[in-house]
Amino acid sequence: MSDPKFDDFKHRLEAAQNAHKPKASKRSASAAGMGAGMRIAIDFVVAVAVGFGIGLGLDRLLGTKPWFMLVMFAFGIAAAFRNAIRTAEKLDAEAKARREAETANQAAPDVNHLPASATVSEQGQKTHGLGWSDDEDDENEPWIHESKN
Amino acid sequence: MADPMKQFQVSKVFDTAHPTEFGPFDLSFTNSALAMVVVVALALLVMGAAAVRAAVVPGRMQAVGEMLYDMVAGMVRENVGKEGRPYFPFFMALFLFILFANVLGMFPVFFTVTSHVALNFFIAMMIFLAVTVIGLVRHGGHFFSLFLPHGTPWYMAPIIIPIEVISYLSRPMSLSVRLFANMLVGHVLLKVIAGFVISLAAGPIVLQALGVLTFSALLPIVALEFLVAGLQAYIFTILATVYLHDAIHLH
Repeated sequence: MSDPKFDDFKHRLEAAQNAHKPKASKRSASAAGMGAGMRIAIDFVVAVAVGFGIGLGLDRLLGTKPWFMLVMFAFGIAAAFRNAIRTAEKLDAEAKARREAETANQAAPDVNHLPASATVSEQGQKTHGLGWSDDEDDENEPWIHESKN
Repeated sequence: MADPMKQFQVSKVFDTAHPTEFGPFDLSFTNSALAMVVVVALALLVMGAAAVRAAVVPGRMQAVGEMLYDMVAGMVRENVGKEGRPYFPFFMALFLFILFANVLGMFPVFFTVTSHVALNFFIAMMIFLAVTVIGLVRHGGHFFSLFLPHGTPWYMAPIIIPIEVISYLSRPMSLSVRLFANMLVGHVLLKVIAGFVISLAAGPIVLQALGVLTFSALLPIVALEFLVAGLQAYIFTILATVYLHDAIHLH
């Protein structure tokens, strides 16, 4: 460790790895944001439409025009809001977890860090081969660890 | 100007003398079917090339294959957990099909199969029904507790249950419409802007300069569309895994 030659190499390695780290590019972040927005918007419209459609169907079946349509339309709107809020909460939680993982990464730069696949194995576990072996009961197998990130 | 919707028209590839109608269904081989055959063949080819010379240090194709595999495996592992393992091949096939269909659709003349709700809704309905059956088989009648979240007061049930049922039934719709809308919008946008370029090129020199500007604006849009193609395949697959998670774990 005290050999200056190795120290120098360590620094250079770190510098090279830092240069390769994904810099959370703004462009892809904004595209992902657009995707999330589109997702919420479409979920919203579809839930209202499905409620409306169920109402129309029930009315036709039971001959109670327009009551089911009106009630289910209202329920559809409620479901739409519920979906939107649920999706937004989930995306929020995901973004928060990602931010925390990023700051943790910066605090302790992982030498084995693979730049392209930061999400697959974050806690320094190396996935062997393609991620799962045939041995189902092996507790050390990466499949069992539910990495929440 | 060229009709921006013409690219989505389904037409017969072979005009055979045989009648291709079976009852109310026309089972002709269409350009959409041809595109799907190409998509599946290419996906098989790429994944086959990845597996044919498996080495400890992966070659170029193997690296691509392993990356795709890892991505889907990670999705299933994180969203469904251990119980999702038997269903992994399905999710892999689903992801590859949508990814290849979306990306190939970005190439000129290639028909974008995912820009039709008919196909997307079929896939989404298949997932929806399979997930519902899996949930029912695993949990029996208890499966319906999915529609009444924990800790809901009993007097709220008449309101909450219809809301949850509608939100559950809207899943296949939103899954298919999202993919369809994203692909359709991107392709129409590209076609319309490209139409502007052609129209401007026919005008006087000032308009032609404007046409060059418009043409250069097309480039980032094409890049964005490639991104959307990948992203939508990812979102479709990840939502399918989330639905499976709900059916297996019931919240």
